[in-house]
Amino acid sequence: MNFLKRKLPLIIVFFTGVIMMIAYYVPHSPFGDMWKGASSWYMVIAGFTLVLGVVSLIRNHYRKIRLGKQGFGYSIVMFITLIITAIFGVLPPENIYTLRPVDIEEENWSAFCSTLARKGQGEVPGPCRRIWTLLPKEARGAAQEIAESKNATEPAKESLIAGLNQVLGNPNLYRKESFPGIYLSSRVKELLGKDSKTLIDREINEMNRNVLMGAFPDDIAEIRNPMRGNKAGSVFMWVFDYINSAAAATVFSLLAFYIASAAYRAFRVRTLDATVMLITALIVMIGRVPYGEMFSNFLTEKISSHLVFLRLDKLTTFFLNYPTVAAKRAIILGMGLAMVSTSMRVILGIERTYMGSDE
Amino acid sequence: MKLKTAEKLLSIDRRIIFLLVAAAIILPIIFPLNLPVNVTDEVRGVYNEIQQLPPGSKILVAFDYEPSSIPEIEPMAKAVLQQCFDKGLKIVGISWLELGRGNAEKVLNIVESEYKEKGDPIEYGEDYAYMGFKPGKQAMILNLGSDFKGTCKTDYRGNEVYSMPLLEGIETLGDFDYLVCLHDDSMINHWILYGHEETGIKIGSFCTAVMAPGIYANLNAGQITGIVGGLKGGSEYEKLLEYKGAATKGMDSQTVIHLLIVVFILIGNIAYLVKEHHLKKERLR
Repeated sequence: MNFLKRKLPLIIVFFTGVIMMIAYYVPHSPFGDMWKGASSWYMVIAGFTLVLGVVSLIRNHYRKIRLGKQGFGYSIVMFITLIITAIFGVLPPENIYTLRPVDIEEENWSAFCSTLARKGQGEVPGPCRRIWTLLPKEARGAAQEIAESKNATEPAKESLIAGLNQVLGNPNLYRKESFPGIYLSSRVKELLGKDSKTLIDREINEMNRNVLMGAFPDDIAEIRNPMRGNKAGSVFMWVFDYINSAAAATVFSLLAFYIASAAYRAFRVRTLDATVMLITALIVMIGRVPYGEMFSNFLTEKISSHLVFLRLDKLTTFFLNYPTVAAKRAIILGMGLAMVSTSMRVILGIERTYMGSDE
Repeated sequence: MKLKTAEKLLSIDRRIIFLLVAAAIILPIIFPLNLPVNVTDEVRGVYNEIQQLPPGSKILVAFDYEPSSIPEIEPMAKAVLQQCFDKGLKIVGISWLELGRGNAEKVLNIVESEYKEKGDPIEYGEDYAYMGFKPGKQAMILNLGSDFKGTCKTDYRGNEVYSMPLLEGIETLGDFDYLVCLHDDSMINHWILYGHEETGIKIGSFCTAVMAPGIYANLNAGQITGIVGGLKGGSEYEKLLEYKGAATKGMDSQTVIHLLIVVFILIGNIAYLVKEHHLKKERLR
């Protein structure tokens, strides 16, 4: 038990660490393949951490609600939003390519049916003729009725829409000679290029709806956004855009108020260090905005051209390019050395906190 | 200044400060100041690098920012995408941040509809594609460096990347002509460490203002070609593209609020010094 719990993890960590180090410097077989395999594993494991995160979130908030801890109401809100976004995000999107009566504008119904019936029964090949030949008898009758009466009744509309949806399900609707010169996106071209037997119903609908839109751009509406799934226009994205993004931006924006208040109350010239920091902050804050540049440009130009180096934008660039970079480099080097030493401690089994609190 | 006045100033109600801050932000939005913007070398470094690429060049755009940073980064994202599409460059998007996916989809949709309205539509799969969220962070970048398509496998719409015409000729991360990194955290360090250093890909940073000072070290070392930092950087980029977007409009508010905070600091410190002076005098007595 002691071996499985304590020694085995240390052995695995030691060998993995050493092999990865060798693989970095010796990218040839077998180390190169090991490196590739390990980094692919890492990606898969990293994906699972998301699941772990959700499980941990649920457990924590469930405990809060069960024990009635302070602020448990927020946990209930969290559960509701989690469930709603998860359901709408995970569900497969509905078929958005089929037609609904609202996809043809109310005032266009009569004109659309007239064109369809007239050209469909004509001799000239074209989209109308092609669709007319594929339309079921009832749908043709409905189109004829609307065209003659100039009044699109609900039953007639539904009958024609049902017929058109049947046409949209036909994998052989598109023929080049019937739809000359219509705009086809690369996606539609890709679908048309495939063997129709390999296409699923949704793809056939997508392809034909686009063909129909290309043939009747003024009559057939654009494809609607799906409610389900996680694409643009879905409930999931609505929650992201109008709740998540808005709430996050609001919380972040509050910083402006707190920074201003804190700057007024706490940013004091108490010590030399604080004074240097305050002066630098003032220069950078003014130097990074147009008024600061304008003001200092005016002063340096009016007083003396030798004072150009005192321009606030120049001073700001100096601070960012030299003192900041020097400090940052020191931090980066320190971090790098710390990472190396910590990694060595983990590989050699000196650092064992990752194995749990017992260690 | 008397001691009483100094004490009054030091104990001012914070709600007054909040009201002044709100006014400083809102008023310039209602009454724009149209302040001039000077373009810095850091911003020009990114712009020039993209501008010199021939049409058809491929750019990888990393959407690595959270929704809280949308006001700062989205204007830059729109500006750089517009520059690329206007020049006929091809865009491939990717995110290693879960929330970056929603931001990427949003901004790509906005830009796509803008081009559609202009009568010059851009097409998914031909002009741009988005790989979606790819987990694994450092490992993901390393894998992109050795096998881009094998790491991505599918785009966010579920299309196989192997058959995507846009990705023809792209085998590794190094085959891209440039990497635009839109970030609000230290992700760029990993793109530099595991992307630039491994494959030599050139990188431009588009980041929040708070992140910018931290990456000047990378700029000085030549690991990135430039920095577009915060609304200021965004407004400079918009100036180079000769249009006024959200960043340029936001700079008026930012200017006034910066000046207001400077005034706050000065008043606070003058009052503090006066109080200290009086207290010192009293102690000596």
